[in-house]
Amino acid sequence: MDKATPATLTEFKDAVSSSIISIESNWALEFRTYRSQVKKKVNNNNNSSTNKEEEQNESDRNNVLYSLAFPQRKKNVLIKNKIAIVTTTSLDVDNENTNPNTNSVRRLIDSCSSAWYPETIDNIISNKLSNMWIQRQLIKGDAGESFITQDGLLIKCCNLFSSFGFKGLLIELKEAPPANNAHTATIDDNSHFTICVKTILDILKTIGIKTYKMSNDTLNEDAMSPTGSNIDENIELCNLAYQYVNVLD
Amino acid sequence: MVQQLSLFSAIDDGSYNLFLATMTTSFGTAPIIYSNLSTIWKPDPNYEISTVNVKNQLVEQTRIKVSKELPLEVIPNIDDKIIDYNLIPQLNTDNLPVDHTFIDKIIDNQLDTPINNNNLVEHKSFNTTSNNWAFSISDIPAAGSTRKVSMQTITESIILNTSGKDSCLRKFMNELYYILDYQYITIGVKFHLKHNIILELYKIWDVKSRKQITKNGYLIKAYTNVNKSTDLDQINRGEQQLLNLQRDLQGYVDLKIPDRKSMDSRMQ
Repeated sequence: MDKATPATLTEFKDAVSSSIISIESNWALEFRTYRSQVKKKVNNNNNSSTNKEEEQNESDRNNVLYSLAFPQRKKNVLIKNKIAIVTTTSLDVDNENTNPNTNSVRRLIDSCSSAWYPETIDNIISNKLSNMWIQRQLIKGDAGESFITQDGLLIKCCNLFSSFGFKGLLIELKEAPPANNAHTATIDDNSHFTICVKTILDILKTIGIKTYKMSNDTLNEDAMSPTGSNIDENIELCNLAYQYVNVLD
Repeated sequence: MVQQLSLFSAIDDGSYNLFLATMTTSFGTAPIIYSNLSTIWKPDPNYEISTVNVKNQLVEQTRIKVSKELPLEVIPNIDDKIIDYNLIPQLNTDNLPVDHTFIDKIIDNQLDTPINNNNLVEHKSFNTTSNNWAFSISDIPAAGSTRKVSMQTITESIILNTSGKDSCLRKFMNELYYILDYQYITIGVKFHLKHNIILELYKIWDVKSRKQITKNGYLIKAYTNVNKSTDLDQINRGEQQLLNLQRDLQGYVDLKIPDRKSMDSRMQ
Protein backbone atom coordinates (compact mmCIF):
# COMPACT_ATOMS: atom_id res chain seq x y z
CA MET A 1 0.00 0.00 0.00
CA ASP A 2 1.76 3.10 -1.17
CA LYS A 3 -0.03 6.16 0.12
CA ALA A 4 -0.61 4.83 3.61
CA THR A 5 0.61 6.35 6.85
CA PRO A 6 1.52 4.48 10.04
CA ALA A 7 -1.95 5.36 11.36
CA THR A 8 -3.62 3.53 8.48
CA LEU A 9 -3.04 0.28 10.33
CA THR A 10 -5.20 1.49 13.21
CA GLU A 11 -7.90 2.73 10.84
CA PHE A 12 -7.89 -0.59 9.05
CA LYS A 13 -8.12 -2.51 12.30
CA ASP A 14 -11.02 -0.35 13.44
CA ALA A 15 -12.80 -0.97 10.18
CA VAL A 16 -12.55 -4.76 10.33
CA SER A 17 -12.88 -5.05 14.11
CA SER A 18 -16.61 -5.68 14.03
CA SER A 19 -16.14 -8.99 12.25
CA ILE A 20 -13.15 -10.35 14.19
CA ILE A 21 -13.84 -13.55 16.09
CA SER A 22 -10.37 -14.39 17.39
CA ILE A 23 -6.95 -12.88 17.66
CA GLU A 24 -4.04 -15.03 16.64
CA SER A 25 -0.31 -14.96 17.17
CA ASN A 26 2.06 -12.11 16.48
CA TRP A 27 4.46 -12.27 13.60
CA ALA A 28 7.31 -10.40 12.02
CA LEU A 29 9.02 -10.15 8.70
CA GLU A 30 12.33 -9.04 7.25
CA PHE A 31 12.70 -8.42 3.57
CA ARG A 32 16.12 -7.98 2.03
CA THR A 33 17.19 -7.50 -1.54
CA TYR A 34 20.70 -8.25 -2.70
CA ARG A 35 22.14 -7.19 -6.00
CA SER A 36 24.90 -9.26 -7.44
CA GLN A 37 28.10 -7.65 -8.54
CA VAL A 38 28.93 -10.62 -10.68
CA LYS A 39 29.33 -10.00 -14.39
CA LYS A 40 29.18 -12.48 -17.16
CA LYS A 41 32.52 -12.71 -18.91
CA VAL A 42 32.23 -11.05 -22.29
CA ASN A 43 32.78 -13.32 -25.21
CA ASN A 44 34.60 -11.13 -27.73
CA ASN A 45 34.27 -13.37 -30.74
CA ASN A 46 30.71 -12.79 -31.83
CA ASN A 47 29.18 -9.94 -29.96
CA SER A 48 27.32 -7.21 -31.76
CA SER A 49 26.32 -4.12 -29.81
CA THR A 50 22.63 -5.01 -29.81
CA ASN A 51 23.48 -8.32 -28.24
CA LYS A 52 25.35 -6.53 -25.53
CA GLU A 53 22.42 -4.29 -24.76
CA GLU A 54 20.12 -7.24 -24.58
CA GLU A 55 22.50 -8.97 -22.26
CA GLN A 56 22.70 -5.90 -20.10
CA ASN A 57 18.93 -5.74 -19.77
CA GLU A 58 18.82 -9.41 -19.14
CA SER A 59 21.33 -9.23 -16.32
CA ASP A 60 19.66 -6.19 -14.74
CA ARG A 61 16.51 -8.13 -14.40
CA ASN A 62 18.13 -11.30 -13.22
CA ASN A 63 20.75 -10.28 -10.73
CA VAL A 64 18.53 -9.54 -7.78
CA LEU A 65 18.24 -11.99 -4.96
CA TYR A 66 15.35 -11.59 -2.54
CA SER A 67 15.45 -12.85 0.98
CA LEU A 68 12.47 -13.06 3.29
CA ALA A 69 13.00 -13.96 6.90
CA PHE A 70 10.15 -15.28 9.02
CA PRO A 71 11.65 -15.14 12.53
CA GLN A 72 8.69 -16.83 14.24
CA ARG A 73 8.91 -19.85 12.02
CA LYS A 74 12.73 -19.78 12.06
CA LYS A 75 12.59 -19.96 8.31
CA ASN A 76 13.98 -17.93 5.50
CA VAL A 77 13.13 -17.95 1.81
CA LEU A 78 15.55 -16.94 -0.93
CA ILE A 79 14.13 -16.18 -4.35
CA LYS A 80 15.99 -15.47 -7.55
CA ASN A 81 14.49 -15.76 -11.01
CA LYS A 82 11.45 -17.55 -9.66
CA ILE A 83 13.57 -20.28 -8.14
CA ALA A 84 13.29 -20.38 -4.37
CA ILE A 85 14.77 -22.24 -1.45
CA VAL A 86 13.52 -22.42 2.09
CA THR A 87 16.19 -22.51 4.76
CA THR A 88 16.06 -22.82 8.50
CA THR A 89 18.23 -22.20 11.51
CA SER A 90 16.56 -24.84 13.62
CA LEU A 91 17.15 -28.54 13.48
CA ASP A 92 13.82 -29.11 15.22
CA VAL A 93 11.84 -27.06 12.79
CA ASP A 94 10.07 -30.06 11.31
CA ASN A 95 9.06 -31.60 14.60
CA GLU A 96 5.51 -30.39 14.23
CA ASN A 97 5.50 -31.68 10.70
CA THR A 98 3.68 -34.97 10.81
CA ASN A 99 4.47 -35.89 7.25
CA PRO A 100 7.12 -38.62 7.58
CA ASN A 101 8.38 -37.93 4.08
CA THR A 102 9.61 -34.50 4.90
CA ASN A 103 10.37 -34.71 8.59
CA SER A 104 14.04 -35.36 8.20
CA VAL A 105 16.11 -32.39 9.21
CA ARG A 106 17.49 -34.49 12.03
CA ARG A 107 18.73 -36.99 9.50
CA LEU A 108 21.28 -34.44 8.38
CA ILE A 109 22.91 -34.77 11.79
CA ASP A 110 22.43 -38.53 11.99
CA SER A 111 24.24 -38.90 8.70
CA CYS A 112 27.06 -36.58 9.76
CA SER A 113 26.11 -34.10 7.04
CA SER A 114 25.60 -31.19 9.37
CA ALA A 115 27.88 -29.40 11.82
CA TRP A 116 25.01 -29.11 14.35
CA TYR A 117 24.54 -25.36 14.67
CA PRO A 118 22.96 -23.85 11.55
CA GLU A 119 22.56 -20.11 11.17
CA THR A 120 20.59 -17.89 8.84
CA ILE A 121 21.28 -17.91 5.14
CA ASP A 122 21.42 -14.09 5.32
CA ASN A 123 24.49 -14.46 7.52
CA ILE A 124 26.17 -16.58 4.90
CA ILE A 125 25.29 -14.27 2.03
CA SER A 126 26.28 -11.09 3.80
CA ASN A 127 29.54 -12.53 5.15
CA LYS A 128 30.91 -15.41 3.18
CA LEU A 129 29.43 -14.38 -0.14
CA SER A 130 29.64 -10.61 0.29
CA ASN A 131 32.00 -10.42 -2.66
CA MET A 132 29.09 -11.50 -4.85
CA TRP A 133 26.08 -9.91 -3.20
CA ILE A 134 25.45 -6.36 -1.99
CA GLN A 135 22.50 -5.76 0.26
CA ARG A 136 20.39 -3.00 -1.26
CA GLN A 137 17.46 -2.67 1.03
CA LEU A 138 16.05 -3.97 4.25
CA ILE A 139 12.39 -3.65 5.05
CA LYS A 140 11.28 -4.75 8.47
CA GLY A 141 7.88 -5.44 9.85
CA ASP A 142 7.84 -6.00 13.59
CA ALA A 143 4.90 -6.64 15.89
CA GLY A 144 2.61 -7.84 13.14
CA GLU A 145 -0.86 -8.87 14.20
CA SER A 146 -3.15 -11.55 12.92
CA PHE A 147 -6.81 -12.29 13.43
CA ILE A 148 -9.61 -14.38 12.05
CA THR A 149 -12.89 -12.93 10.85
CA GLN A 150 -16.42 -14.31 10.81
CA ASP A 151 -16.00 -15.21 7.17
CA GLY A 152 -13.16 -17.57 7.98
CA LEU A 153 -10.50 -15.26 6.69
CA LEU A 154 -7.10 -15.03 8.34
CA ILE A 155 -5.87 -11.46 8.17
CA LYS A 156 -2.29 -10.57 8.96
CA CYS A 157 -1.29 -6.96 8.96
CA CYS A 158 1.84 -5.09 9.79
CA ASN A 159 3.48 -1.71 9.31
CA LEU A 160 6.68 -1.92 7.32
CA PHE A 161 9.72 0.27 7.85
CA SER A 162 12.93 0.64 5.91
CA SER A 163 15.97 2.61 7.01
CA PHE A 164 14.35 5.71 5.47
CA GLY A 165 11.24 5.42 7.58
CA PHE A 166 7.72 4.19 7.07
CA LYS A 167 7.35 2.08 3.99
CA GLY A 168 3.76 0.95 3.94
CA LEU A 169 1.09 -1.26 5.36
CA LEU A 170 1.21 -4.93 4.53
CA ILE A 171 -1.94 -7.02 4.64
CA GLU A 172 -1.89 -10.74 4.05
CA LEU A 173 -5.15 -12.59 3.50
CA LYS A 174 -5.47 -16.31 3.79
CA GLU A 175 -8.18 -18.79 4.45
CA ALA A 176 -8.18 -19.73 8.10
CA PRO A 177 -7.28 -23.32 8.98
CA PRO A 178 -10.42 -25.49 9.19
CA ALA A 179 -10.16 -25.95 12.97
CA ASN A 180 -11.08 -22.35 13.74
CA ASN A 181 -12.93 -21.62 10.57
CA ALA A 182 -16.51 -20.76 11.45
CA HIS A 183 -17.51 -20.44 7.84
CA THR A 184 -18.96 -23.66 6.45
CA ALA A 185 -18.14 -23.86 2.82
CA THR A 186 -21.24 -24.54 0.80
CA ILE A 187 -19.99 -22.82 -2.28
CA ASP A 188 -16.67 -23.24 -3.99
CA ASP A 189 -13.94 -22.19 -1.56
CA ASN A 190 -12.04 -20.26 -4.12
CA SER A 191 -14.90 -17.99 -5.02
CA HIS A 192 -15.67 -17.49 -1.34
CA PHE A 193 -12.10 -16.35 -0.83
CA THR A 194 -12.42 -13.97 -3.77
CA ILE A 195 -15.50 -12.44 -2.16
CA CYS A 196 -13.67 -12.06 1.13
CA VAL A 197 -10.79 -10.32 -0.59
CA LYS A 198 -13.24 -7.97 -2.26
CA THR A 199 -14.77 -7.16 1.12
CA ILE A 200 -11.37 -6.19 2.43
CA LEU A 201 -10.70 -4.04 -0.62
CA ASP A 202 -14.03 -2.29 -0.02
CA ILE A 203 -13.01 -1.66 3.57
CA LEU A 204 -9.76 -0.15 2.34
CA LYS A 205 -11.71 2.10 0.01
CA THR A 206 -13.87 3.37 2.85
CA ILE A 207 -10.80 4.41 4.82
CA GLY A 208 -9.47 6.22 1.80
CA ILE A 209 -6.84 3.83 0.49
CA LYS A 210 -6.92 3.75 -3.27
CA THR A 211 -3.43 2.73 -4.31
CA TYR A 212 -2.21 -0.69 -3.42
CA LYS A 213 -0.40 -3.62 -4.96
CA MET A 214 -1.84 -7.08 -4.75
CA SER A 215 -0.40 -10.44 -5.69
CA ASN A 216 -1.78 -13.94 -5.64
CA ASP A 217 0.85 -15.50 -7.86
CA THR A 218 2.59 -18.75 -7.15
CA LEU A 219 6.04 -19.95 -8.10
CA ASN A 220 4.82 -23.19 -9.59
CA GLU A 221 2.19 -22.12 -12.06
CA ASP A 222 0.63 -25.53 -11.74
CA ALA A 223 0.74 -26.54 -8.13
CA MET A 224 -1.52 -24.31 -6.07
CA SER A 225 -4.80 -25.81 -5.05
CA PRO A 226 -7.21 -23.21 -3.67
CA THR A 227 -7.60 -24.86 -0.32
CA GLY A 228 -3.89 -25.49 -0.07
CA SER A 229 -4.40 -28.44 2.20
CA ASN A 230 -2.13 -30.89 0.45
CA ILE A 231 0.64 -28.52 -0.37
CA ASP A 232 3.94 -28.79 1.45
CA GLU A 233 4.16 -26.04 4.05
CA ASN A 234 7.60 -25.06 2.81
CA ILE A 235 6.39 -24.70 -0.76
CA GLU A 236 3.48 -22.65 0.54
CA LEU A 237 5.93 -20.42 2.36
CA CYS A 238 7.86 -19.93 -0.89
CA ASN A 239 4.67 -18.89 -2.64
CA LEU A 240 3.89 -16.48 0.15
CA ALA A 241 7.40 -15.08 -0.06
CA TYR A 242 7.03 -14.68 -3.79
CA GLN A 243 3.82 -12.73 -3.27
CA TYR A 244 5.62 -10.50 -0.78
CA VAL A 245 8.37 -9.92 -3.32
CA ASN A 246 5.84 -8.93 -5.97
CA VAL A 247 4.21 -6.47 -3.63
CA LEU A 248 7.27 -5.07 -1.86
CA ASP A 249 9.82 -4.81 -4.63
CA MET B 1 30.03 -19.79 12.96
CA VAL B 2 30.79 -23.22 14.27
CA GLN B 3 34.26 -24.19 15.36
CA GLN B 4 35.03 -27.77 14.48
CA LEU B 5 37.86 -29.32 16.48
CA SER B 6 39.24 -32.50 14.99
CA LEU B 7 41.98 -35.10 14.86
CA PHE B 8 42.51 -37.64 12.11
CA SER B 9 44.05 -41.03 11.54
CA ALA B 10 43.64 -44.09 9.32
CA ILE B 11 43.58 -47.88 9.57
CA ASP B 12 43.79 -50.57 6.89
CA ASP B 13 40.88 -52.72 5.76
CA GLY B 14 42.00 -55.73 7.80
CA SER B 15 41.89 -53.82 11.08
CA TYR B 16 38.23 -52.88 10.79
CA ASN B 17 36.70 -55.53 13.02
CA LEU B 18 39.37 -55.27 15.68
CA PHE B 19 39.06 -51.48 15.78
CA LEU B 20 35.29 -51.69 16.19
CA ALA B 21 35.67 -54.26 18.96
CA THR B 22 38.26 -52.11 20.70
CA MET B 23 36.13 -49.00 20.55
CA THR B 24 33.04 -50.84 21.73
CA THR B 25 34.75 -52.39 24.74
CA SER B 26 36.82 -49.34 25.66
CA PHE B 27 34.07 -46.75 25.47
CA GLY B 28 30.92 -48.81 25.86
CA THR B 29 29.17 -47.42 22.81
CA ALA B 30 28.00 -49.30 19.75
CA PRO B 31 29.00 -48.41 16.19
CA ILE B 32 26.23 -46.78 14.15
CA ILE B 33 26.31 -46.97 10.38
CA TYR B 34 25.80 -43.75 8.45
CA SER B 35 26.20 -42.50 4.92
CA ASN B 36 26.03 -39.18 3.20
CA LEU B 37 26.38 -37.47 -0.13
CA SER B 38 28.51 -34.36 -0.39
CA THR B 39 28.29 -32.08 -3.38
CA ILE B 40 30.99 -29.47 -3.75
CA TRP B 41 30.19 -26.33 -5.75
CA LYS B 42 32.59 -23.76 -7.12
CA PRO B 43 32.06 -20.24 -8.52
CA ASP B 44 31.07 -20.38 -12.17
CA PRO B 45 34.20 -19.53 -14.21
CA ASN B 46 31.97 -17.89 -16.84
CA TYR B 47 31.43 -15.00 -14.48
CA GLU B 48 33.77 -12.34 -13.24
CA ILE B 49 33.63 -12.51 -9.49
CA SER B 50 35.45 -9.92 -7.49
CA THR B 51 37.51 -10.81 -4.46
CA VAL B 52 36.54 -7.78 -2.43
CA ASN B 53 33.17 -6.68 -1.11
CA VAL B 54 31.65 -3.17 -1.00
CA LYS B 55 33.63 -2.36 2.13
CA ASN B 56 36.75 -3.30 0.20
CA GLN B 57 37.39 -6.25 2.46
CA LEU B 58 39.01 -9.27 0.92
CA VAL B 59 36.54 -12.12 0.51
CA GLU B 60 38.17 -15.16 -0.91
CA GLN B 61 36.24 -17.35 -3.26
CA THR B 62 35.47 -20.59 -1.58
CA ARG B 63 33.74 -23.73 -2.57
CA ILE B 64 30.38 -24.47 -1.03
CA LYS B 65 29.64 -27.88 0.38
CA VAL B 66 26.04 -29.02 0.20
CA SER B 67 25.42 -32.41 1.72
CA LYS B 68 22.65 -34.70 2.83
CA GLU B 69 21.98 -38.19 4.04
CA LEU B 70 22.17 -41.01 1.52
CA PRO B 71 19.80 -43.89 2.23
CA LEU B 72 21.78 -47.11 2.22
CA GLU B 73 18.76 -48.87 0.76
CA VAL B 74 19.83 -47.56 -2.63
CA ILE B 75 22.82 -49.89 -2.69
CA PRO B 76 22.06 -52.57 -5.28
CA ASN B 77 21.18 -55.98 -3.85
CA ILE B 78 21.01 -54.60 -0.35
CA ASP B 79 17.77 -56.42 0.36
CA ASP B 80 19.42 -59.65 1.40
CA LYS B 81 21.77 -57.90 3.78
CA ILE B 82 21.34 -56.38 7.19
CA ILE B 83 22.18 -52.72 7.32
CA ASP B 84 24.61 -52.44 10.20
CA TYR B 85 28.33 -52.02 10.70
CA ASN B 86 29.03 -55.45 9.17
CA LEU B 87 27.85 -54.12 5.84
CA ILE B 88 30.77 -51.84 5.08
CA PRO B 89 33.46 -54.51 4.56
CA GLN B 90 31.06 -56.32 2.24
CA LEU B 91 30.62 -53.40 -0.12
CA ASN B 92 32.34 -53.74 -3.44
CA THR B 93 34.92 -51.38 -2.17
CA ASP B 94 36.82 -50.33 -5.28
CA ASN B 95 33.82 -49.10 -7.17
CA LEU B 96 31.09 -46.68 -6.22
CA PRO B 97 28.54 -48.80 -4.37
CA VAL B 98 25.53 -46.83 -5.63
CA ASP B 99 24.31 -45.99 -9.09
CA HIS B 100 25.78 -42.64 -10.11
CA THR B 101 22.66 -41.72 -12.08
CA PHE B 102 20.82 -41.86 -8.79
CA ILE B 103 23.12 -39.17 -7.39
CA ASP B 104 22.35 -36.87 -10.31
CA LYS B 105 18.67 -37.40 -9.71
CA ILE B 106 19.01 -36.36 -6.10
CA ILE B 107 20.67 -33.12 -7.13
CA ASP B 108 18.10 -32.50 -9.86
CA ASN B 109 15.22 -33.39 -7.54
CA GLN B 110 13.89 -36.03 -9.92
CA LEU B 111 13.62 -38.95 -7.60
CA ASP B 112 10.01 -39.62 -8.41
CA THR B 113 10.87 -40.50 -11.99
CA PRO B 114 11.69 -44.17 -12.49
CA ILE B 115 15.31 -45.12 -12.77
CA ASN B 116 16.39 -47.62 -15.39
CA ASN B 117 17.96 -50.09 -13.09
CA ASN B 118 15.83 -52.87 -11.80
CA ASN B 119 17.54 -52.75 -8.45
CA LEU B 120 16.59 -49.19 -7.88
CA VAL B 121 13.14 -48.77 -9.31
CA GLU B 122 11.33 -50.28 -6.40
CA HIS B 123 13.07 -48.52 -3.59
CA LYS B 124 10.64 -46.82 -1.30
CA SER B 125 13.48 -44.95 0.30
CA PHE B 126 13.59 -42.67 -2.73
CA ASN B 127 10.42 -41.06 -1.63
CA THR B 128 11.57 -40.70 1.91
CA THR B 129 14.66 -38.87 0.74
CA SER B 130 13.68 -35.31 1.36
CA ASN B 131 14.99 -32.23 -0.30
CA ASN B 132 16.82 -31.21 2.87
CA TRP B 133 20.44 -30.19 2.53
CA ALA B 134 23.13 -28.81 4.80
CA PHE B 135 24.67 -25.80 3.03
CA SER B 136 28.07 -24.90 4.42
CA ILE B 137 31.22 -22.92 3.79
CA SER B 138 34.41 -23.82 5.63
CA ASP B 139 37.45 -21.66 6.24
CA ILE B 140 40.95 -23.05 6.06
CA PRO B 141 41.81 -24.46 9.52
CA ALA B 142 43.54 -22.06 11.87
CA ALA B 143 47.30 -21.80 11.51
CA GLY B 144 49.88 -22.16 14.25
CA SER B 145 52.54 -24.74 14.99
CA THR B 146 51.62 -25.01 18.66
CA ARG B 147 48.12 -26.30 17.94
CA LYS B 148 47.20 -29.60 19.43
CA VAL B 149 44.01 -30.15 17.44
CA SER B 150 42.80 -28.92 14.09
CA MET B 151 40.35 -26.02 14.38
CA GLN B 152 38.14 -25.07 11.46
CA THR B 153 35.37 -22.49 11.16
CA ILE B 154 32.23 -23.73 9.43
CA THR B 155 29.26 -21.56 8.49
CA GLU B 156 26.16 -23.58 7.80
CA SER B 157 22.48 -23.21 7.07
CA ILE B 158 19.84 -25.85 6.40
CA ILE B 159 17.87 -26.00 3.17
CA LEU B 160 14.39 -27.44 3.71
CA ASN B 161 13.09 -27.44 0.17
CA THR B 162 13.23 -25.78 -3.20
CA SER B 163 10.33 -24.22 -5.03
CA GLY B 164 9.60 -22.85 -8.47
CA LYS B 165 9.21 -24.39 -11.86
CA ASP B 166 11.38 -27.53 -12.11
CA SER B 167 13.30 -26.28 -9.13
CA CYS B 168 16.17 -28.27 -7.71
CA LEU B 169 19.39 -27.76 -5.84
CA ARG B 170 21.41 -27.48 -9.05
CA LYS B 171 19.19 -24.72 -10.44
CA PHE B 172 19.37 -22.68 -7.31
CA MET B 173 23.12 -23.06 -6.98
CA ASN B 174 23.42 -21.90 -10.58
CA GLU B 175 21.39 -18.81 -9.66
CA LEU B 176 23.99 -18.14 -6.99
CA TYR B 177 26.63 -18.36 -9.77
CA TYR B 178 27.93 -21.67 -8.49
CA ILE B 179 28.42 -24.82 -10.53
CA LEU B 180 29.03 -28.39 -9.47
CA ASP B 181 32.70 -29.14 -8.95
CA TYR B 182 32.79 -32.69 -7.63
CA GLN B 183 30.77 -35.04 -5.47
CA TYR B 184 31.58 -37.86 -3.15
CA ILE B 185 29.78 -40.29 -0.95
CA THR B 186 30.85 -41.33 2.50
CA ILE B 187 29.85 -44.57 4.16
CA GLY B 188 31.09 -45.34 7.61
CA VAL B 189 30.34 -45.98 11.24
CA LYS B 190 30.32 -43.48 14.03
CA PHE B 191 30.70 -43.70 17.78
CA HIS B 192 29.05 -41.19 20.05
CA LEU B 193 31.54 -40.71 22.86
CA LYS B 194 31.16 -38.69 26.02
CA HIS B 195 31.24 -34.90 26.00
CA ASN B 196 29.86 -34.60 22.47
CA ILE B 197 32.88 -36.19 20.85
CA ILE B 198 32.12 -38.15 17.71
CA LEU B 199 34.52 -40.66 16.21
CA GLU B 200 33.89 -41.61 12.60
CA LEU B 201 35.46 -44.44 10.65
CA TYR B 202 34.67 -44.17 6.97
CA LYS B 203 35.34 -44.76 3.33
CA ILE B 204 34.95 -42.20 0.55
CA TRP B 205 34.06 -42.76 -3.07
CA ASP B 206 34.38 -40.15 -5.78
CA VAL B 207 31.18 -40.07 -7.80
CA LYS B 208 32.66 -39.01 -11.13
CA SER B 209 35.45 -41.59 -11.39
CA ARG B 210 33.33 -44.04 -9.37
CA LYS B 211 36.47 -45.10 -7.51
CA GLN B 212 37.17 -45.38 -3.86
CA ILE B 213 39.53 -42.69 -2.64
CA THR B 214 40.25 -44.42 0.66
CA LYS B 215 41.29 -47.66 -1.06
CA ASN B 216 42.55 -50.41 1.27
CA GLY B 217 41.71 -48.48 4.36
CA TYR B 218 39.45 -46.32 6.48
CA LEU B 219 39.80 -42.75 7.57
CA ILE B 220 39.29 -41.97 11.23
CA LYS B 221 38.02 -38.58 12.30
CA ALA B 222 37.43 -37.62 15.90
CA TYR B 223 35.74 -34.27 16.35
CA THR B 224 33.39 -32.03 18.20
CA ASN B 225 31.59 -28.84 17.20
CA VAL B 226 31.45 -25.71 19.32
CA ASN B 227 28.63 -23.33 18.52
CA LYS B 228 30.41 -20.04 19.00
CA SER B 229 33.97 -19.27 18.05
CA THR B 230 34.08 -16.85 20.99
CA ASP B 231 33.23 -19.55 23.52
CA LEU B 232 36.82 -20.21 24.58
CA ASP B 233 35.80 -22.31 27.58
CA GLN B 234 33.91 -24.71 25.40
CA ILE B 235 36.69 -24.77 22.82
CA ASN B 236 39.31 -25.55 25.46
CA ARG B 237 37.11 -28.24 26.94
CA GLY B 238 36.54 -29.79 23.50
CA GLU B 239 40.24 -29.71 22.80
CA GLN B 240 40.99 -31.38 26.12
CA GLN B 241 38.45 -34.13 25.45
CA LEU B 242 39.98 -34.81 22.05
CA LEU B 243 43.45 -34.93 23.58
CA ASN B 244 42.17 -37.39 26.20
CA LEU B 245 40.87 -39.59 23.41
CA GLN B 246 44.19 -39.26 21.61
CA ARG B 247 45.97 -40.41 24.77
CA ASP B 248 43.55 -43.33 25.29
CA LEU B 249 44.16 -44.63 21.79
CA GLN B 250 47.89 -43.90 21.80
CA GLY B 251 50.05 -46.73 20.51
CA TYR B 252 47.08 -48.29 18.77
CA VAL B 253 45.80 -45.49 16.57
CA ASP B 254 47.66 -42.20 16.46
CA LEU B 255 45.24 -39.32 16.09
CA LYS B 256 46.97 -36.37 14.45
CA ILE B 257 46.36 -32.90 13.07
CA PRO B 258 46.15 -33.08 9.29
CA ASP B 259 47.93 -30.63 7.01
CA ARG B 260 45.63 -27.62 7.02
CA LYS B 261 46.16 -27.15 3.30
CA SER B 262 44.38 -30.45 2.70
CA MET B 263 41.30 -28.94 4.32
CA ASP B 264 41.37 -25.72 2.31
CA SER B 265 38.23 -25.15 0.24
CA ARG B 266 39.35 -21.89 -1.35
CA MET B 267 39.64 -21.53 -5.08
CA GLN B 268 43.25 -21.47 -6.18
